Amino acid sequence: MPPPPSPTVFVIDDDAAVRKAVSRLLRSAGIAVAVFALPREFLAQYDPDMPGCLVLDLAMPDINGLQLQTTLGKKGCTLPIIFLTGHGDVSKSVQAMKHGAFDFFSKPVKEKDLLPAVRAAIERDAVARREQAKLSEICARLDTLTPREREVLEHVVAGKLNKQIASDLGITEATVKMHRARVMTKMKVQGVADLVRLTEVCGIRGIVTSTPH
Amino acid sequence: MSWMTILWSMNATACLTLAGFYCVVWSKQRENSVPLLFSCSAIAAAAIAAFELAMMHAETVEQYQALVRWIHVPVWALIVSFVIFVRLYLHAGRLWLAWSICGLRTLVLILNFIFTSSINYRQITGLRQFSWGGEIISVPIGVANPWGLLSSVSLLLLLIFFVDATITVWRRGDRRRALVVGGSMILGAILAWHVPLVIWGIIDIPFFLCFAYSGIVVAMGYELSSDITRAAQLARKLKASQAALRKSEQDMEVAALEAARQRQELTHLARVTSLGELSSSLAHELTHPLTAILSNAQAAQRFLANDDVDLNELREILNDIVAEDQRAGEVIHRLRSLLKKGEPQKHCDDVDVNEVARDVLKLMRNDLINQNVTVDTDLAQNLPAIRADRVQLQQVVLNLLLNACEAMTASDSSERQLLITSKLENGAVRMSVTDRGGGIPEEKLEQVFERFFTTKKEGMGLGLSICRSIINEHEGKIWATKNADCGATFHFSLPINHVRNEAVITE
Repeated sequence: MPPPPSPTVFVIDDDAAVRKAVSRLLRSAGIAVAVFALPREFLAQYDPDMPGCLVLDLAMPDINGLQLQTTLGKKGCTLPIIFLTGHGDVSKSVQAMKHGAFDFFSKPVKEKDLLPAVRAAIERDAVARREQAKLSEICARLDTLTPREREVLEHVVAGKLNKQIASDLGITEATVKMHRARVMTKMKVQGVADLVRLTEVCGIRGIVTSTPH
Repeated sequence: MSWMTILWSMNATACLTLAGFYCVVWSKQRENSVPLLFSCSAIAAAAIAAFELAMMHAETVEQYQALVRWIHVPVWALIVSFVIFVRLYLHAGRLWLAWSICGLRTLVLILNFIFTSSINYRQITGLRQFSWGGEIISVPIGVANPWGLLSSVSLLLLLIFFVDATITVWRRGDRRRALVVGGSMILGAILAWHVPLVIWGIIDIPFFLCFAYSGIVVAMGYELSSDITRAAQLARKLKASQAALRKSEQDMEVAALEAARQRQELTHLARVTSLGELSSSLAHELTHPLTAILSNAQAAQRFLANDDVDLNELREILNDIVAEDQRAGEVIHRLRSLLKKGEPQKHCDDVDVNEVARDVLKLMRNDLINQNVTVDTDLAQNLPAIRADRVQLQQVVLNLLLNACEAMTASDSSERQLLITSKLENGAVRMSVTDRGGGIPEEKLEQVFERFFTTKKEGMGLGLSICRSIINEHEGKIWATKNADCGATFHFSLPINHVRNEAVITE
């Protein structure tokens, strides 16, 4: 497995001096930075696998910060966005936060505000990416199950006994046992508790209503 | 000395005094011959008085005869002077009558010297002396000359001439002059009829022609003096009205200055109002350099905290901080110059209109971004500089751009495009601002420049009227046109060789 790419902060501001100074500040804190003058330039080279966060100027020609936020949202981009604005525009900041902005600062932004926010955003992105990776792994394991094994899994996580499962599915208890063992192997878990935890992450709930006790 | 001698002498003296006075008047203003004419008649009247006095005291027939002959000279001079006076001064009397009288009197004068005795007497046979008015006076006894009738005819013509002239003057509405001068002349001409009566022996009195005529002279003198008084009054009035004129000129200057000051105030007010619309944009213009400065400085602090300091990086950071500080300073400078209350017409400069447009665009940058307005420029290279008030021109461009943005607020954001062009045209620099907004109806293209005309809810309707007054002050033109597709274009043009008078004011 290749090492994950190091997180980068994408600074997008149409003012060259601000862009340069903010990126310099981030670099001084040991953070990798990539700068873009216009949202369009960023979109052109956007790679969903690049971890990090966005530091975005709210008012820009062409596409403004809010529009970029929406566009990225539609693309399924989860990069946290920190907005910088020239003047405290309340309605725009509310709109930005509603759309999931990570943070919002008015210019000139102080180091003690920006750097922790950027670090927190990078951390959140990293966590999200780890979660995402785990999810993908579980989903991949789930995909290896046959339809019958999947049915058995759903009954198992619902806490049913083999006998109940056999009666629900209309198969023998021995067959249930066999499927159950195969599910455990494929999902790489030792016991039912582990299986329940994994499936919860994926949002699979056990089937509980099929048979009354 | 009897009172008769005194009376005749006084008459002569009075006439001579008047003559002397008006001679002086004439010498002061030679272009006016009336005083001279008056002086001639006054001298003639004085001479007649002297002759008459001499005749009264004549001892011998020969003496008397000579006096009668020579008295015709001053009489001729007097009558001719009267006739010319009436023509020149009163502008009345028939010309043919005037010529007839003068001709006849001259004929009488000539004949007077041809006859052995005089035109009045064929011969004076003796003198009859009698007491009259307390004095012994002489009157002639002799045969009247029938040619003397010519003299009487001339007297008659003179009377007709005077009456006619008086009526003319009266009708003209100059009644006082008709009464005083005309009246005295008619009276004098009537009184002169005592001469033929004495000669024909009908009445027995001394000649008093001098009184008949000096009455006229006095009336003429009175009239002329009232002219002088009137002239003096007129001069006083003229002086007063000149003073009033000067004062009103001063008042007007003060009022013009006040108007200029008020116009300046209004222009300034409008400018501040326009800037108010831009205030958030301007704040943004300042926060950019401030953000850059703060981030740079804090980055430098962090770099310095490391053991291994990259001096090149630090040098670059400091350079950037200086540059950004200058940038913030420029924003403030631009703003301050626009906010400053200018002295009227004192800031003439060589101005590049392209630079004006670029400056204003810098100020409006953030506003344009927020409104999604894109600006294209097509500015002619190497435009000649014009003499103008830079701040006022910035105000005009700012106003036109703000209006253009305002006009496009209802348009789709992809349609919000502005075009600024400049070019050299017929010896003038022309700048045009084209928008793609709702446009202006044909009939309102001129009206938009009128004071208090507005289509905005909060507008005062001053912006464009102030633009027009600014451009007019620069002897330029400002106008609006309809675009072929949509929106409107505002143009202004300023003459390149225009040098405002105030430009010579040295600071």
